[in-house]
Amino acid sequence: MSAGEVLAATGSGPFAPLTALLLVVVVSFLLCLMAGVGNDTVADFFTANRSLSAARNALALCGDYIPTTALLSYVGAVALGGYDGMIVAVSAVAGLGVLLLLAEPLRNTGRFTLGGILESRMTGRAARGAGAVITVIVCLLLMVVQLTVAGDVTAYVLGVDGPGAAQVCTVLVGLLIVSFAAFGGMRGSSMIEVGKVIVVFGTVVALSCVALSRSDWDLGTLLETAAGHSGGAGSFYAPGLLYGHTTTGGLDLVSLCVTVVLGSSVLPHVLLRVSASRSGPAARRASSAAVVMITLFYGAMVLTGLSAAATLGAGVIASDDPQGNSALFLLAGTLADGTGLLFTVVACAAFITVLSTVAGLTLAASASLAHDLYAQVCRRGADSERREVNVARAAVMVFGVVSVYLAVTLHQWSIVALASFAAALTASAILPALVYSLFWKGFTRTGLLWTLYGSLVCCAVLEAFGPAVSGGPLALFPARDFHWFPLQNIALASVPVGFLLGWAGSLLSRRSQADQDRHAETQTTLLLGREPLDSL
Amino acid sequence: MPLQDRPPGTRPPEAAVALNHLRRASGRLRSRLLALNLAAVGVPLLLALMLGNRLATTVSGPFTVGMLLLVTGVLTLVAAALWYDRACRAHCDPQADELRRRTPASRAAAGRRP
Repeated sequence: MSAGEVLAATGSGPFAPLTALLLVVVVSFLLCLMAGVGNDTVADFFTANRSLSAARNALALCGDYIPTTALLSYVGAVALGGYDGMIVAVSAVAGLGVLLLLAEPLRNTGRFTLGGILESRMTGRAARGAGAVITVIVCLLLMVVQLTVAGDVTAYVLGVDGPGAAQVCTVLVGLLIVSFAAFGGMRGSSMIEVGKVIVVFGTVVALSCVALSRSDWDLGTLLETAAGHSGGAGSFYAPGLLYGHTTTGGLDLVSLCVTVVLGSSVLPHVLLRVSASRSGPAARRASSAAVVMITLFYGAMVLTGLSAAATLGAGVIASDDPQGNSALFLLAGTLADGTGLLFTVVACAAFITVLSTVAGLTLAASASLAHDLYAQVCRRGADSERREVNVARAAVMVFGVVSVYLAVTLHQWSIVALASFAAALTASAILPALVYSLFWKGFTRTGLLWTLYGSLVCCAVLEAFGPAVSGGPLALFPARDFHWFPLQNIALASVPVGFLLGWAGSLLSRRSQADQDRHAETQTTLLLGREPLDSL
Repeated sequence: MPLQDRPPGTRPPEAAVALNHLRRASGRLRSRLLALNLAAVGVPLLLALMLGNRLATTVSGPFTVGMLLLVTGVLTLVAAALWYDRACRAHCDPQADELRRRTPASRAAAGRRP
């Protein structure tokens, strides 16, 4: 089914996708405008003055764990990969479990950026600078992925097929969303995240219910039909459909799960979200509640994926998109029965997901640029709060424009490689740095820098010489083959390297007296918390 | 001076003992949560590597061994998350509140901008 055919199936009028998307844009803009009125201080802009309740933060945290790539790719992964797709969905839930371990101590540091958190443990500006560099790289990669998907989805939903249409959509949607982040700050971003969770969850549940009703509300029938349309239960409900039945394929599946579990747990915008909680225990409660919510969500996603396999069959989904990213739209178009309502709702859900994810990433990157690099490293905290907020708004715009430019330039690149690299970098650099900083007495500044920069180099090398970049039809450069690393997902190798580098760097260097004092002070802070707002 | 630092040969102050107790309790709960999370994801992954197609063996109707494993894993994750929060509320939060109340000096020290 082509984009035009899908659109034609949806009809026009008040339920037309374009009308609904415009409505989403207007409502989101008004929300950001209202929320942004009080953003006069750094604490207001980046952390909503740490005023978000546990329930609201849980919803927003849940929203942070549903990026556009997850919304679109998990349905396809389950529909095409069967058991493999389901195990990846379970890994996504486990990612929040990892965050639950870290949420309370992270919030208790009283800092809201990665650089700030690392600097609370190490003396000197190198830690803050390195944290900011890694944050900006991760956010930039994820922004390119999200904006590319945003452009493709918008063009697909609107039925625009011409050359360069997706790029034009990327520019328009990207600039629109970035301006939302500049206006709304954390309050606006949180309101959109909460709205997104409600819309997306409702959409996925509605799709599952419609699909289940076609199977006479019998889950067993749905499972049998899904397997029957995808090569039989013997292969569909066994591992191996995503990466093959070889040892390398098995390790690739494990590596993908490691990437999802560890990479999604400490993304920069998630760290920013945790810091917006009222206190450490509130952050823990929000994470715990988010685990329950995200479990329900991914359960519904798995059901939707099985519905897609049962309704469409793996062949139809793979012929439209070999990676299955359009499965959600295909399912909605098929189940819509000519009314167009279901397809429009799915289009709105995808659009609001893009909007909130990009807003969160932009905010996290601008926090690192404005607060870490400009205010703390360059100006050494000499600027006023108002000036820092203005710099932050400018940083949002600059970062957004650069991201949009890169998304348009790299539009033909495989987004899978970029997303995989960003997640692996988060798991290999940010996670070890945070775990060691929070819990290991012997961690030194050298160890920290080795972890952050060493992991960056390691991830870049493994990714560049892996099958995600060359040597396959879905690679970044499909016509060339210079890969020697066998795994498409590099986290299985890069995460241990990240931890080893931090350990080795710390063993081979000497802890300064200042760092020992800082560690002793941090130990009290991590347990009892820091008075809010005086230590940003 | 941070609560746990003391000159050699002196008895630890009451607050430092309470802080160490809180640290141990918190670490213990965190270790258990980590073990449960590891088991919830690690066991299905390991079995997927070891058993292969045997995971598609049916248990009841169209439900397979693999599905049973995944559902058990997810339920473990949810139960562990709820248990952890509840245990922290019962064992750690009251101690932390008590420490904050008893040692206002530590709050001032902790709140100092580094």
